[in-house]
Amino acid sequence: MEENPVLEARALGKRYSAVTAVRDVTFSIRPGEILGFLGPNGAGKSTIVRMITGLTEPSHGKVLFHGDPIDASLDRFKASLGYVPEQPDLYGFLTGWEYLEMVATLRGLDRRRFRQKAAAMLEGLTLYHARDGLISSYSKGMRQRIVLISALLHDPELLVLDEPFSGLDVTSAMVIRRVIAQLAARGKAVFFSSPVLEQLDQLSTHLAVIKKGEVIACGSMDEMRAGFGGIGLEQGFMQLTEQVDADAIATGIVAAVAA
Amino acid sequence: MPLRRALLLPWLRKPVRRWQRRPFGRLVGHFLQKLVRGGQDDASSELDLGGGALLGLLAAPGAFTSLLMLDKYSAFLNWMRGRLNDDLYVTSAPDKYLFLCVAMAVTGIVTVLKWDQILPDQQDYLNLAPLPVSSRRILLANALAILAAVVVVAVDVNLIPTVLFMPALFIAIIAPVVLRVVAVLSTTKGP
Repeated sequence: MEENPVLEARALGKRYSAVTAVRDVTFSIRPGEILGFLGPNGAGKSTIVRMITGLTEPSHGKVLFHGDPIDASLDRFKASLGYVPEQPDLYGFLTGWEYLEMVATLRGLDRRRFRQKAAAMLEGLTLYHARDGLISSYSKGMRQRIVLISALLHDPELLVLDEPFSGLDVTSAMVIRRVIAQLAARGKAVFFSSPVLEQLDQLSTHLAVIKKGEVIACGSMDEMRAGFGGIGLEQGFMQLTEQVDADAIATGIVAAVAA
Repeated sequence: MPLRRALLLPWLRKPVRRWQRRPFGRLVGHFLQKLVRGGQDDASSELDLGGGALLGLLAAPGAFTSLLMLDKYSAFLNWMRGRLNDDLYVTSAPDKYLFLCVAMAVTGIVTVLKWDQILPDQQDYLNLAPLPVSSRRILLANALAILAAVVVVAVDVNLIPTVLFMPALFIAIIAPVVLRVVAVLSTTKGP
């Protein structure tokens, strides 16, 4: 029997005055599932992420957490949520350790547990040596790793990751990928948005393709592959979203470079 | 934070540390820290001052003005100059107003320097909104932090003038009276 969804989006929509950014988006994530959300830049992925994390109110539709609307008990929902934003804007005047300590305190985490967990995670992501340095001196990848640690500190039931690999080096990206896969194997529900198909292909159990604010395809990875026939995921995605002949465009660019 | 350690009395440190371990206390501490150290973000180009330097700079005008006024209110120097009958309540009035103006000007300058940190901003939204802390508590913590900062600035701006100016003025007013009382007593003393 299938488990009940941890998170459900029902006919989500968002309008900014005359512009419709997201229209009738419906999906659900069950424990152990990694839902990859794939779409070109500007398709509405981040707007959806903000709605399902309770940061933006949808113009219509509902977000349900274990069957209850998230706004019925937003703090309870946020206590179970680990969120990595697309562009983290951390406090540059804090050190990495101070930032994590603040997040842990605000999440009500016990100090001793925090120290153990943070030290282990910083060590694993090769940041332990830099823990007392100011965040303003961190590289983009280091900041991204700090945000990831802060999202995992409280052992969340639901992880929402908005382009989590941007700025990460190969090793860190590989470690994070495995961390996400292992967390999902332990029953966490993961929502993972990215414009890069390879990242989603390697990690996701389910895939949703979004174009101009609408979900145009959704299903398990096997269903998606079967749906695209023999053309492969990349070609299938291109056909669904861009509807362009990538080879012809590339030839045109190369001709322009050589001219 | 060495400044905080220096400012806090030893018996206050423990309760403050314990309070800061609670979510609300940590939030208030965070906003206070942001008010003082918020300019250290690499994106910011505003004048960047640490807590100690800022407090010193704010206290300086009052301190210098008070020191310059010691000459005017020194009972001994006034006695040497033969000015024993000045009405100090009247002559000190402009100086009192000067101190009020200095305090207001300094507070205004601090507000201009830190105006963008008075309310929670986009950075706070991005960092604090995903956490299980209600926006009401965030705003309350921010308001408390600002209140604490205002108290610290008010004390800092006025402490040295209060220590130097008020006793000087008091002595300047009382000293002639005391001297006269002593003189009268000594002359009326019978054999």
